[in-house]
Amino acid sequence: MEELIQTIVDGVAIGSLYGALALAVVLIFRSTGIVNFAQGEMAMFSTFVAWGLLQADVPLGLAVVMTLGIAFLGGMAIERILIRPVEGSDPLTMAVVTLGLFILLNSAAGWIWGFETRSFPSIFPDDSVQLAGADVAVESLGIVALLLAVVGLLYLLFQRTKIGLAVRAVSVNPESSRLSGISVGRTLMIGWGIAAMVGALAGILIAPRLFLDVNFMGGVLIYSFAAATLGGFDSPFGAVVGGWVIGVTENLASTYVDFIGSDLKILVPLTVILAVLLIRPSGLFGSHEVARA
Amino acid sequence: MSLLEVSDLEAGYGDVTVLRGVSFAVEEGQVAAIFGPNGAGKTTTLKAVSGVLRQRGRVTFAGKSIAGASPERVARMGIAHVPEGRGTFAELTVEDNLRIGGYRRRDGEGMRQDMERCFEYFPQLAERRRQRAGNLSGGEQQMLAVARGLMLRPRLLMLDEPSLGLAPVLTKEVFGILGTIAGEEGMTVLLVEQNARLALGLADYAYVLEAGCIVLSGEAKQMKEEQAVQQTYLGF
Amino acid sequence: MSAAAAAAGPSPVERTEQRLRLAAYGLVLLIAVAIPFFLGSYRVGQFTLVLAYSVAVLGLNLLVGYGGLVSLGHGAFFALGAYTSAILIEEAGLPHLMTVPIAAAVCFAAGFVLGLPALRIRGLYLALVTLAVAIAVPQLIKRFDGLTGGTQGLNVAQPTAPGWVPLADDQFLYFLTLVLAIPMFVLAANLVRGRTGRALVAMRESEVAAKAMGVDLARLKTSAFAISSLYAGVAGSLYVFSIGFVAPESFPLTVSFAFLAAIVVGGLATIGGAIFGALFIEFVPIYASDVSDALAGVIYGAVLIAFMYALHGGVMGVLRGTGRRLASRLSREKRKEPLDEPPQPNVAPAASDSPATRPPTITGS
Repeated sequence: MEELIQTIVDGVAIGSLYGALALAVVLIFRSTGIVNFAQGEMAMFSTFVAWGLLQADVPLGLAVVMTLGIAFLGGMAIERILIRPVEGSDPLTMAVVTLGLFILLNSAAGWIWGFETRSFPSIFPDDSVQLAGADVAVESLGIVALLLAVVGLLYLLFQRTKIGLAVRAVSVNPESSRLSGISVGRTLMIGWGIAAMVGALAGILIAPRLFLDVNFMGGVLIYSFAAATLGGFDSPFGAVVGGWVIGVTENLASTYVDFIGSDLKILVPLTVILAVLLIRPSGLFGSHEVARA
Repeated sequence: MSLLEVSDLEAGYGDVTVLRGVSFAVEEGQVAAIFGPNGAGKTTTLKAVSGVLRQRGRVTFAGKSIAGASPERVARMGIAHVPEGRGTFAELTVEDNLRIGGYRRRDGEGMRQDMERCFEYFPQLAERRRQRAGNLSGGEQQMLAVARGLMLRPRLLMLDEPSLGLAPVLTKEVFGILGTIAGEEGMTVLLVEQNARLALGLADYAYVLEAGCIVLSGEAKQMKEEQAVQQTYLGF
Repeated sequence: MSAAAAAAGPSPVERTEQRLRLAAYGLVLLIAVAIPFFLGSYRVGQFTLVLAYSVAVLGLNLLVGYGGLVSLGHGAFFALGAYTSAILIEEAGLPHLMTVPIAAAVCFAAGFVLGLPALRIRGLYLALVTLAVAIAVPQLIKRFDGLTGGTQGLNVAQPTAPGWVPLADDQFLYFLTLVLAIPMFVLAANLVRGRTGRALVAMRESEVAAKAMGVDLARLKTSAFAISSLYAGVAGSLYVFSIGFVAPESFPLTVSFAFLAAIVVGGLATIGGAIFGALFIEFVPIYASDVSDALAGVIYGAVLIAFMYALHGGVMGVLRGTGRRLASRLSREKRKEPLDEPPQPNVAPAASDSPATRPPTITGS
């Protein structure tokens, strides 16, 4: 029983990590209709920036905040420089450009920081607490709490602020937004910036567990896509719930189902993607428009 | 000096030129209408003025040239373009749609008052303020589009074929409200319409656009009496 | 072009263009045949790989370039073909050539199966599914290590030149690959020029319109996946002959990305582009890593993005444009001017009747 609780709680924690990156993917998809294959690499790059700051003896909390800021600017720059020229193009062009960005960021990170694996400190203390009779890591609980906080903040941002309204307007009808005086370009940049920040946070939370190297977000990206697909590609709430479902399912499967083991774990998200797209393309919480993409 | 002055306007889509040198003016406080047959270039004219389409020629608003300005800038200068097809933000609520209309404004209290006034003009919208705008009927969406334009507190309200796709009863209602707004607010309106009767009913001054050129212009009252207009556009 | 002009057959410019194109093919073939005799065995090996890759790239272009079905999983079928040949050669002792049609058939069937979800899923979701397949394959290879040799991989005997052929082994391998690749190109060219090609393009432009024109979308999509996988499978076999070794590490996700990059660089919806794409993915990483290992990927990614912006037609697009200009200049020189009239000025195609009506264009939305 104790093992079960630990597996589930850990699954929720891992799922929160997938959900965090999925949230970034969904934010961009919702505001621009683009599937950003480079989201994981953007997060990886940001995490390396954080690592660089730590090497420069910047305290962890400050490093994280600075990284988020840098990620925001980076996301804005990527939108303005790389994505804007091909905005509105066909799916293939968008896929190729984001894949090109993937390759570029991956190699750039290797060029700047090298290809070795490093450790990265967790922002949570290394304690555990008792939950229903089982030992649960503070880190796991912290991750879940932080994700929920992020979701809450995003909700307030999009529903209660002017800039959030602009992002929603542009995602629904860019032409009409222009006629109301909204600067579509600047709004898109901000959307990408916010998504990049969320992705950076995901990277910073994941790095302590998976260790920091240029490829550490590669697998996570697939899990995040699965989470986003399951939750509905245009539903931020769905991304988080999808992440939890996948995290828990995968953890239970790899612990209790022999065939799966650790190297075939990747089949879980892949099967999820396939199943969802075949049975109910709009996912759990997505809107119907999503299925037509 | 007219509020909006357009001279030798040329615009088109790709290789196709639609407007071949259109000139007209709209005075402050006036309701001006441009009507004509399908394909004459009415929608193109508004799009060229608001910057959605690239154009050649002179367009001045309140003395300043807006030729080549982006739609965002044109809106910020005080021209509200209520587009063909209504341009509704379907997934957002009616209230959000109106807030978007007033996006560039900084006076929170003024915006709230204006929103209430819009709801007074269009009671159907008030009933549905929290509903998803896409669920509204065509007529209600048209009202919403006009209201969104009004939220900008524009100096010039441009309406692109407001009667399109609406049942006659609804168009009568919408145009009635437009008349009220023009009268009460003293709003300057540029209306583009296929339905000449409605256009001439609302307008002070009218232009006839055919095949990309203005062929006739004058006071709306006189236009109505004009035999050519009567035969071609008023179905006499 | 008026009906009368169309009925009169290709214009002089078009005929010159056709002649230029044939000349170009001839030149390429000549170079291809000459390569093994003028280069050292390492280089010849590289070009053999280029030929193998070009078959894979060709297949992907049929699916993605012509058909508009985004697939990120081409590497999976490449791996499937490679492993099929490898296992048949090592475990079943089959002669090399016999494994090629078998690998082709296996991949054809597998591609058909992958085409089935394509009936219900579109666009980027389809890309996701194919991405998932591409990632799953190396893991599945490792899991079924009884058959595939697992992480260790399989060493595969390479084809050697029979005694009566006056070629070195590497040259023989090159020509074997060439001889197998050429019919694949011819087949693709015919496919593209015929009904299937037109149907694919129609589907890419608008599924609704294609259906209205009587295209059986279901059959077309599954066929497109099946055929492109067949090509990948053949390419995989050729790859195995060339390298003599397969392992799960040979087929990471980046292989699928590379093929995608190749069709972009070579030219979407072109046949000839496959060669340039294959050259790109074989040589650019090498030269880029001469500059710096890490920078290789940066260059690779940057080139990819640059092609999407500027050179949308890929290398083939550039070549075609050049060919057209050359053809029109050549055919103009051939025209004899009458002696008593001054030479005609260079007549540019008329875009507008009068300067006043120069049509402006829509701003990007």
